[in-house]
Amino acid sequence: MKIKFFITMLFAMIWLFISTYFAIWWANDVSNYLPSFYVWWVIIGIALLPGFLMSAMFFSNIIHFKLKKHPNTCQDTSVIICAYNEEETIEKTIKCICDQEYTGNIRILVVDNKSTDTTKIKILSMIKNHYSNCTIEYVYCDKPGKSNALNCGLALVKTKHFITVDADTFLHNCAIQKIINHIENKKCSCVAGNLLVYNVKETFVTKMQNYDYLLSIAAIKRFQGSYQTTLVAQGAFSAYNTCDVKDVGGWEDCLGEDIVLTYQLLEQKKISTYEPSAVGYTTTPTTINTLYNQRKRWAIGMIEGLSSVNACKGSYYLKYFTLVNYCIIYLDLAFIFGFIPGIILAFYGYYYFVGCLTLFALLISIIMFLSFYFFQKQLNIPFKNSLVGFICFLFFFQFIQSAASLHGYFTKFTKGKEFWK
Amino acid sequence: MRIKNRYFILILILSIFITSFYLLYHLDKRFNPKPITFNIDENKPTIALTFDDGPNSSYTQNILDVLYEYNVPATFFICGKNIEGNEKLIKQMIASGHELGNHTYNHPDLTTLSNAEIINEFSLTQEKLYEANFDYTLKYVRPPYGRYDENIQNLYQEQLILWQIDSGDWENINEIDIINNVVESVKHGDIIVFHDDNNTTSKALKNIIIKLKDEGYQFTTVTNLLQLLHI
Repeated sequence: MKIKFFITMLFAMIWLFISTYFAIWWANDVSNYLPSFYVWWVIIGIALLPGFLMSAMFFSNIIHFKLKKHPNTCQDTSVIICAYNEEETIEKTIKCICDQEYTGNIRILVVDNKSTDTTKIKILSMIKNHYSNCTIEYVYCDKPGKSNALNCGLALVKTKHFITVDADTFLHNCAIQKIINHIENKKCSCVAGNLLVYNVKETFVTKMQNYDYLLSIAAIKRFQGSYQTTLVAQGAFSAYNTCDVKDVGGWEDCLGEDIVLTYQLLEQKKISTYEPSAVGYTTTPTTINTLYNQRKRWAIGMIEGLSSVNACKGSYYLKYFTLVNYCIIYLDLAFIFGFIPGIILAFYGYYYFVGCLTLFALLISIIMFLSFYFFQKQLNIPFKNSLVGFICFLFFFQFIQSAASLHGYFTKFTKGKEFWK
Repeated sequence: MRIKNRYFILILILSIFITSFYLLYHLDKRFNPKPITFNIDENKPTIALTFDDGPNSSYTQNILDVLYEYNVPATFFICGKNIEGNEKLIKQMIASGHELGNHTYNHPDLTTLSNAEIINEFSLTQEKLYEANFDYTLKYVRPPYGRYDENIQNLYQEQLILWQIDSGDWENINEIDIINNVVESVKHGDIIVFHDDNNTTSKALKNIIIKLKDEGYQFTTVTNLLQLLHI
């Protein structure tokens, strides 16, 4: 693992060296016309740093292209589902778990977090059904907040490992088997599942997100997971070691409770990985407004995660990936205040930041995305495609992502309040 | 969309526009500078600085900056092949009040060409300038390497402009030698040739201008110098 990481960093450094060689010429040229500090700030933020980070991820994922298979385990497990007004999806979520091709028993703990709709009725009606290796329990948590609901569920878990699934996430029929195989055989503290978009065809916003989940998020998790440092074992679908989670005191009451938990586990030098073959389909925001709010929450969660632990205590990998997360803040700023003004300048005939080279960078991005796409394809997991979605993802998604993230950082730094729902 | 989100996005968009506006303002000031103002005193020694082989995307801007800083007008003998991609530099030259001259399209040795080819070399540069939307007629021509014969002289007569002092910057010499080449032999009415295709020239230029100004020299374009000398 160390050698592979070293080779990955070497490759990324070579890439950075070559791109810096060309960037010096570029920056010197543009510095003739614009303030040189700003020019370097933009070029590092929109070209050099993203190039370094992307090339490291690309190369690492190439050398880890082969999918690792783990022997089957049949140990009993628990699934915590937190629900707050989830009447539309809760039945399907539970049914997908009950229909799992899993060799052990599954105990489903559905935690109702003060729902005011018919969620409770839907859960109780599901309990009445009989499933061969599955039991469903209704748990009521009167303290609002996802972390409180999760902790309620955690208190009832008796199995060695447990899984968290969001009430609007539908698991592929062998997802639990795959994720439990992984966590049992690798002795991890947590394993993130591979999330894909369920409602792909709903709107162009969901079509865009389909490729964000399929290509970006999955690639980042695979990169981090290759070095046992997946920074986010997302609450929507992840498996955890019960003792390890209880040792760190469960979930903190904050917006990015899953991020903070993963960081806390990593700080204790525990292993956090990713299982690409354990797939869950999540319901994603359908409008720009809801997507914006979601990404804002994720950004707040990231800052909460970063500020909750001392990454220096963790492994070298944790230090590297934490540093990368800090860089993301800079990248978002550079995108908004460097790349977008660069586009506006290009409209006026000044191709200093956005021009032919941007098209070349776009081509390289497409090649990278194709490699990520083929990796997902080899999993033989069904997912939908949409050309419109891919184009929108390529050209527009980052605008929403960066704006919402900046809003999130701003909210967090100014101590503003955000809510789970 | 929640009100807080709307406000933030509005502020973000406003900030992006302010950044873009500042950058555009900065660029506009760069490419559309106020013309260099100069008054010629007939009693003072006057010379003309000329720059060949440009415009060059890497070096011409530095030359223009030095000239603008010291309020010195000059004449740029441009090559037609260098116009494309450097339109902003040419725009800046014209806006600053510098003069443009014709230095052929491909920079060939004109003594080896036929009459038709020679004419074509100069007219192509003029056409290229028009194509780039510059309503500017190149009044003077300068043969590359300063090589010309009787035939070329007959073709262009008074339009043909050479120089009295060669700065020697094309010989890869250092900054000090360029300064000495110019300062030690300059006299009233001289046309001095430089090349805006290297970094040393712009460094030397600053010192040359300072020294010559100290010696009482004033600078002008080729057209004004010839008028002053009644040629």
